[in-house]
Amino acid sequence: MLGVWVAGAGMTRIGRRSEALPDLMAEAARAALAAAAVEAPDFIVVATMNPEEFLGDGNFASHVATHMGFAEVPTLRVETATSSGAAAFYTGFAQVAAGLHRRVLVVGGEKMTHLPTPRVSELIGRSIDPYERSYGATMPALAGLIARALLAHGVGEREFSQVAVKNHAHATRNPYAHYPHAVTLAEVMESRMVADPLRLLHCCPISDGAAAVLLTSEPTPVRVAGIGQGTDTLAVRHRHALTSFRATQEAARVAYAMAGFGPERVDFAELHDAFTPFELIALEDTGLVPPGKAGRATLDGDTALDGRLPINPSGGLKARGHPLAATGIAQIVECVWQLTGRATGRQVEGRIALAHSIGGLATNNWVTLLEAK
Amino acid sequence: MTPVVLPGVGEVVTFTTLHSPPAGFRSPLHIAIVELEQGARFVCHGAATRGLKAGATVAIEEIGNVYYFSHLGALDRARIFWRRTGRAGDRVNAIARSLIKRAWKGKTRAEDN
Repeated sequence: MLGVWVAGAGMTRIGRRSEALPDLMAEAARAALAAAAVEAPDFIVVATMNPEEFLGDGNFASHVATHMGFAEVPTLRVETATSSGAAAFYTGFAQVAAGLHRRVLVVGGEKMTHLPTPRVSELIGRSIDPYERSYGATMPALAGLIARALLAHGVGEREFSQVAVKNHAHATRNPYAHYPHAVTLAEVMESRMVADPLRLLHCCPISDGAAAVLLTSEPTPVRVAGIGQGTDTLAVRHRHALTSFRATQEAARVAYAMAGFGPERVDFAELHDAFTPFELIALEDTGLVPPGKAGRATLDGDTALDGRLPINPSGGLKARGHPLAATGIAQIVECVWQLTGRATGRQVEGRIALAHSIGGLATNNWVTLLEAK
Repeated sequence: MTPVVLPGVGEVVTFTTLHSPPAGFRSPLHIAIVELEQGARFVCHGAATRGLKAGATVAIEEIGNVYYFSHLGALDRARIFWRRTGRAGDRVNAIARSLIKRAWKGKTRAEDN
């Protein structure tokens, strides 16, 4: 396997955007190519979760490549629900590692804010087990079931509310964030109930945006040290555990094995906090904190920007926003910017970064490890 | 595969109340995952989740191919309980434990109100 490096990273501001999705993806791709000082890639991997239904457009890989002026560059689309961006990154990584291509552009994006919230919820919900869906289960409902199981397991509502407070505080320093405003613990804990015990401010927003990276076989300041995928049953009711995600644990195990080091070397991380209890679960599933300690670590400020182990310096899905297929790549963009000293206003110290992305209700998850030279 | 008949009683694994359910469902929508004694798990609807706890015993029944959970009445619970506990000594101990638990629950509920 050949070494794979990140030559350039770029993204759009996340939020309610008026531009068309191909425009947003082109904006992110141009930024990544410019940062890498590369004019055209050898190959393009496109990630969008559901442009067929969000936008009514299909054949999206060719659509985006043509729009960017790369109609003659080979391109394909990758999809693993909400972790599609990370899956596309893996595909690009595999292309370079196998020696098939030398410069691969990975670009992901989603546009959703033009649709009413119930429609967006319905479309995202298509990734849920059909039987569970037939009972009215949506993503927030399943996340509510997981959060309830966590409460029964001894995790407090205050602990997962603090995740929202922290990630919003981080986002105030991120010009790319969807919600760059602070929230208080009281505001979070008094916000409208969505899926008991999950409240509105425990849930990520509906966002538009795009992100891109250029992967290369030539050494740059940031190397892809390891990447792993983990999977689990589509049906949540068939899981062995509801307070941890097997898909994350497996993805982390594979990524650490490839990297040749363990969680103790990770300096900071971007974790998939679509619902804030998921950040606590991911902290433990990736081995960054010992089992049962994620809540305490969060309340103690260990995971804040100035803490021992900064988590979601970008603001996370919670406050930077969650444009589905852009998210897995946006996490890696943030890690690259942090590792190369370009995260102005929210810069953390560190050489090893971890990015974690959840597909569906943790059916297809990814862990990526990046190392600065 | 041989079909088996399971008793319509199970343990609540977890539950939620959805306040913005999808089209075609009543709001608020009460959903629980219930595990039967033999390990089969069902997603169920219910009339309420107030006072419900993970680990609580509920009745489940099927109406028109949809499963529903409901809190058990005191008499139902006593009956199940009697069936489950074997020896007379165990029964006495278990009844004592149950009474203490009930008294304690009554107390915390009063505090909530």
